Amino acid sequence: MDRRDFLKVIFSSSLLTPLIASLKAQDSSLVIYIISDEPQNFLPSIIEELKRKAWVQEGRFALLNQHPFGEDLKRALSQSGWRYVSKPSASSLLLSFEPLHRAASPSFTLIREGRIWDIRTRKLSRLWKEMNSRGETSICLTVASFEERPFTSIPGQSVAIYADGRKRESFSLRKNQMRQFTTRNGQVVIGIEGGRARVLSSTCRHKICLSSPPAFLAGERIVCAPNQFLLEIEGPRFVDTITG
Amino acid sequence: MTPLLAKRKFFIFIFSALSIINCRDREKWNTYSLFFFDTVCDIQVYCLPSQVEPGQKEISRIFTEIENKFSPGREDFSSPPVIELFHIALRVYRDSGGCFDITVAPLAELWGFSTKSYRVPFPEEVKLALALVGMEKIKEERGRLSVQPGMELDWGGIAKGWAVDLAARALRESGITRGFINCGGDLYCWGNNPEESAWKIGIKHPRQKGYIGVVSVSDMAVATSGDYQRYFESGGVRYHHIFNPKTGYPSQNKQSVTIVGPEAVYCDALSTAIFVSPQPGVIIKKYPEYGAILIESNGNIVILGKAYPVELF
Repeated sequence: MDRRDFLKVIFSSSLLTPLIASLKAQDSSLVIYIISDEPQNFLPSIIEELKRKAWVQEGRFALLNQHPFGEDLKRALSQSGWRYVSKPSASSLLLSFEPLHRAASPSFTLIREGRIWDIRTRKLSRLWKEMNSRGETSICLTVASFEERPFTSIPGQSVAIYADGRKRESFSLRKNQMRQFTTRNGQVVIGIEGGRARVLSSTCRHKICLSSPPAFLAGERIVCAPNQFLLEIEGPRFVDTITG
Repeated sequence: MTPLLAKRKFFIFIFSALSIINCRDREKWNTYSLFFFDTVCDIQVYCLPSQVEPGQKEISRIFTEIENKFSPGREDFSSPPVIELFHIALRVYRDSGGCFDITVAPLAELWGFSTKSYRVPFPEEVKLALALVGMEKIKEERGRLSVQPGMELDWGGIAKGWAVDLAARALRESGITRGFINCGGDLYCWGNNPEESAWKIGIKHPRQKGYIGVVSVSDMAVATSGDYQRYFESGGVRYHHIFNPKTGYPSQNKQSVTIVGPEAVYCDALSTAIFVSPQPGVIIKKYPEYGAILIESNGNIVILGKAYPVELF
């Protein structure tokens, strides 16, 4: 089923109107629509891909109404690190079920801020093909609406060290340690403690790097320009580059 | 070996060789960092492996030339690049009513920003330093600039942006269709990002970690001036490096100004001019292709000029 047909099927369902209105009222900026009799097999993979790109972060989920595959969805999402809560107000992901007026081929579409969100990743494309190749049709529409957390920084997983313009190495932020790096112009000692990295000593003149606050969020940096040394926290980024 | 087998082996060899050549010559994303202008310059470009090193060399050559001509203490008053950049600076100086001024070096020195021995000067000292400030005091005669004794030029608010423009132009002219060059927040991006959409530029939050918003642009430059970039505190007051050339004191009514527009050199200079000016709207009107995102001292966000896609949090 192509995207136009998919939307036609969804919007021909009068039952959806109040649901969409309520989603709008909650200001859900990201919604996944899935037509499938096995949403539990696809939804976690889609969410995982969004999580990998750092567009969503796992949290709590709730069911807005009775879902024929509710228990399967609960099980599948719990296995992916999500926690089920009964109160919709306490969740960051709301799931709901709507029967379609006519059966349609399994597929999914992402809507972000009222517009179709075209994410072209290999994994999602594979998933789309897999759903479509099954042949059977479904009247089960699962709507997953997120409380989106766009462009906020999250703690990184590792720290990358660049010296003289080249990446020297990358290591975990989980292990407390102290490391010394020699660059063309001098030496820099860094320390990792409690998931935060900071410069402990440097042979540079003004020691600006020493007064930099500890870095722990993905994309954060500590620079020692005189020593051509750069420490960068690695992890999912929401932006391509930074000004300021 | 039968002729058929030999023929088959020959074709396998040709196919493998072509595959290797094809893989080697495929365009891919390349990221590297260079250290210039006392900061990190990040470069991300989509190009052939064979284009990486020449591109890197060309950027280094341009940045070295700009550093040699415009670093503090350099007294080149006549070479063509100096005269060209002087004219751009003079235009912004005039359009901003003197809020952007390349002669503020005596003020930066007085407040200790050039030596990093910070201090709050006495008002009389500020008054004396102000006598050496003002671009109208620079004379241009027969392709040569002349300044009054004691005056010094500070290209810090414009040269980096210019360097970014020159480097980005060089890479584009060499056939690189997508990428960005970001020197400490002065940047130019062109083509699409790796996700095939406009480049997402995070605007640093002036008072905390993370971003205050994201600008999504392609074929555009972005630059920011902020009171958090270089500052010292004394008696509970933050004194930063962006001086009001009229008062001689750090400009106090904004936390940061981000400019988006076609050229990094103007973004760079306008971010300072608008940071200092009490009438930013008047300045930005003179640059219809440019937009400004101002964060005022109370944290309010104001958007002026040309509207670019910006998502604020």
